[in-house]
Amino acid sequence: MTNGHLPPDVKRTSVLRRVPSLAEVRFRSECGEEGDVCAFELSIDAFPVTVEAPTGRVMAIVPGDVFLATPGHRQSTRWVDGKIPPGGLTPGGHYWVLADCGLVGELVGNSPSEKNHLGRVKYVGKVYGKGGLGLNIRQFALPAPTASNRSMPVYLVLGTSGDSGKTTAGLAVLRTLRMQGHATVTALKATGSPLLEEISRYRDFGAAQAFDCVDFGLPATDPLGRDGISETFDRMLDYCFSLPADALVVECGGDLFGANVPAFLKCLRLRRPDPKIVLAATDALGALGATRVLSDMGLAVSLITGPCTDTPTFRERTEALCGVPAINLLRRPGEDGNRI
Amino acid sequence: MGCLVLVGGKPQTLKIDAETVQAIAKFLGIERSDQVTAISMAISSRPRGRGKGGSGRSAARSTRRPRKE
Repeated sequence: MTNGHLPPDVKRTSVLRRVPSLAEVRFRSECGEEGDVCAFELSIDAFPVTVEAPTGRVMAIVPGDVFLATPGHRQSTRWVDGKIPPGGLTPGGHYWVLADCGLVGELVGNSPSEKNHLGRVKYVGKVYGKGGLGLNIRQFALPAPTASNRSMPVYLVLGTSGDSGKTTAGLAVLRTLRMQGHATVTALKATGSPLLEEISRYRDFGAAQAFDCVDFGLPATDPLGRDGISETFDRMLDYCFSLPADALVVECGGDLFGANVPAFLKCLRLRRPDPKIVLAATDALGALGATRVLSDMGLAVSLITGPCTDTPTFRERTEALCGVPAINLLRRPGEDGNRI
Repeated sequence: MGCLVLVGGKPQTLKIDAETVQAIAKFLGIERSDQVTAISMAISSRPRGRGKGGSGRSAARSTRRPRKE
């Protein structure tokens, strides 16, 4: 395949969820850069993989399928490391599906845990629209805010690693706000790799709106120290603060040092110097380290949750080490006898 | 207040009960919204019914047709 057409209903991954449906999908044999709408093929002798569809459902890509996704970087604490090579993806080259949302790039490293999205695919070409211009997700990002910043409080959820319970903590904060009568709450997954299913949970639990980096034109906030990331975070925050809302709940994907979380915190503190912070930690020492790192940044943790609170002993140790209240969100009251 | 249960792609269950809400609200300083306070004040200061022939709930009750035996 060099240049060609694909059917309008060709499978596409959720990182392209803001790209409108195309009457005709045409592609060219050109290098693919971050955010470009690109066609990939899973070879006929491969195992099927699953990815997230733009609706949020789990979608199978079966051997022989051509599907749309985008080149992207990923530096995960627990799952997959991958990157876009200098110059972009080369047509005919073989790459890997690095994330459920449809990031594709060179595989750098892979943890032992099972990943249903991880499969080797061939890069076919870059999709272009009317006028012959290549399509990129940043062309479909939210517009610049028209209203000025509003003075809503910010509840920030940070974690010591992936899978430390950040989304659970964020949902609990959101639910608390709603139950306390705050009718309109905005949710933002500010850093890391996007997943529609994740921000949809915030909507399920009562967020008036929920956003991630795809809404601001980026397929992921990796790699660390990338050019222009502060400008993206500025746009993200200004947009969220421009919306009429009683509160903003922000979840930072990854750990404190990855996914450009430090750059995000800098941008946030210019607007809200003293956000309320919930720390999700996998263990007491991780909680202690994160509390100290944040303290060095001038930020105080208000509450700790996550696996470091799974047993009364661990929870009490976390509280004693960090000097911060710790609660567990995954148990019934009384289930461990001393949850709060 | 009931519990909400989240069952995600991962085997986890999120329970948000009154105790959890109170704890999170306390530690994060989340106060009851003015909107809720205003509604509860409006409800508590609403004129009471004045019995037969008046208005409100008791009046509505008094004009209800007697149940057929």
